Amino acid sequence: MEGNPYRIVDLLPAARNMMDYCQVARDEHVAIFADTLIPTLVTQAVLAAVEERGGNPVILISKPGGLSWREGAEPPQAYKLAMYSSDVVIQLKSVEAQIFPRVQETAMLEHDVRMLRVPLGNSVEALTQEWALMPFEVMQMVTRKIYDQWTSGATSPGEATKTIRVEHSNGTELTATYDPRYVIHTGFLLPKLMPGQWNQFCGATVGIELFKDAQGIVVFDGLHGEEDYKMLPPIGSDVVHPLSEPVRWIFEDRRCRIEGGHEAELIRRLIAGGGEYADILCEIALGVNPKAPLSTMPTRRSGVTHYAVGSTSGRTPTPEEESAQVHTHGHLLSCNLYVDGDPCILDGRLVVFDDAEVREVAAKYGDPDKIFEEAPF
Amino acid sequence: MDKTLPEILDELLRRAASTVAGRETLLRYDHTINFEVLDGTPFHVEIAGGKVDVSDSEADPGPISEAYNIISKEDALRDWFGGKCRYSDLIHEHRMYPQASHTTKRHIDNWIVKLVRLGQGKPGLRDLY
Repeated sequence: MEGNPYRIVDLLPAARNMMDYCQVARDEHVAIFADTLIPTLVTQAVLAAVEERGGNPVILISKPGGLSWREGAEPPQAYKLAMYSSDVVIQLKSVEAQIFPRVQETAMLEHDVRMLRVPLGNSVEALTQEWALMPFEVMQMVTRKIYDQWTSGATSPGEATKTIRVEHSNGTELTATYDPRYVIHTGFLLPKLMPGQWNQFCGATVGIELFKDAQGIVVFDGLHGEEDYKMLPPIGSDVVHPLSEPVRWIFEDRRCRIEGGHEAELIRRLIAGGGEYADILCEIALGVNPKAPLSTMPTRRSGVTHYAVGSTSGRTPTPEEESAQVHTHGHLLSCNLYVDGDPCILDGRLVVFDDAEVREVAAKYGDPDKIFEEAPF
Repeated sequence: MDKTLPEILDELLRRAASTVAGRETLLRYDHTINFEVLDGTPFHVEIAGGKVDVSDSEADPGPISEAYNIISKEDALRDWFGGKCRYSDLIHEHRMYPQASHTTKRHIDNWIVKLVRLGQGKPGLRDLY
């Protein structure tokens, strides 16, 4: 095709890798959800990979849905029915955001759906890059180790708390306490993706969505995950980087005050309409893929931490009803991060990359030093 | 007198266990699920090796890899067990609060949802398509 140097065969290795992440089996019904910004070549490659596995694929293309996570948002009926009637849903996303979470969760909880989310931006190139070839087994082991560190000692029922501390020479110094039962993870928890679970292609985030306290400052390198950010440079991308001047979130008793230039003003506008709890710290998370490109998927990149204020709509996890109609993010490229004093990230590198068991698994796929070598930003 | 919540759950899981699909589903995981009833008495179910044991007391603390907590109220649990509401709707209506936000334990949610539906004699929603 004129202007596009790629063919389906160039995208197939990554598309086949997707099948490992969602473990498509013969005769399973697979719905591939894309939006109008996802290149056709990408959906064709994914469809071909599903067919190779013996699955029965269908492609649905809808409008981009970056803001459709808001409570009460409903997709078109056909979208819903395809999701509910599939064994596996593969969601190719042009925007790093939640899309119709209520329908997705109903599909997973009530309809036994397994889901793979694939954040791509709007480029074909994304699927030709190294990040898209990271083996599932390696990413599963890495994320599981981090999850175990962040939840160690947690019981259910239980009242334990843990402390997370983030520091960086740019002025970041944040300490937050959390209930380890509320550490978030995805289908990477187990070696096999089970009904009700979802995976993030080539690297989940591990994170915390509920805090008992947060004190200190985070100084961001970039923002991501809002349609409104597309009007900021680089125009058209929901990842804003670099910032015109530092954006600082200053936490006191979990509540956030936002300082900075016009990007900070935009965040203030976003949370102004989010209700009483829109300024509460609701997420600290990190990525695990050393090759993930910053331009399209900062939240997947190993060592990059991201933070959100507000809440996760529709999924308020406690009866305290701290629900907000906003969940907006910023990210920090490098830091030191400690959980109860134990290092998790040092100088921007995940400590688990040097774990003997992790390296043994990685060695099945190549030289661990190369696999865990971080691509330049 | 109305049956208690643990009695209802016990009955549902016994009915589920009387079916082939239910026995297969019970074997999927070994897990303890504690129900923290905000306006009532906690109860829990231990499922191990396909065997079900429902108790009318709070579960002993267990590692979160093997134990789960669901917070709710009596009426919401009765609506769910009685087939009047879907579990996922109760979450989104802020009447049911599974322990883990996001999807850390959604496979366990999916599991107990499926078992309750089998106990209600209803097909899995997936099977309607």
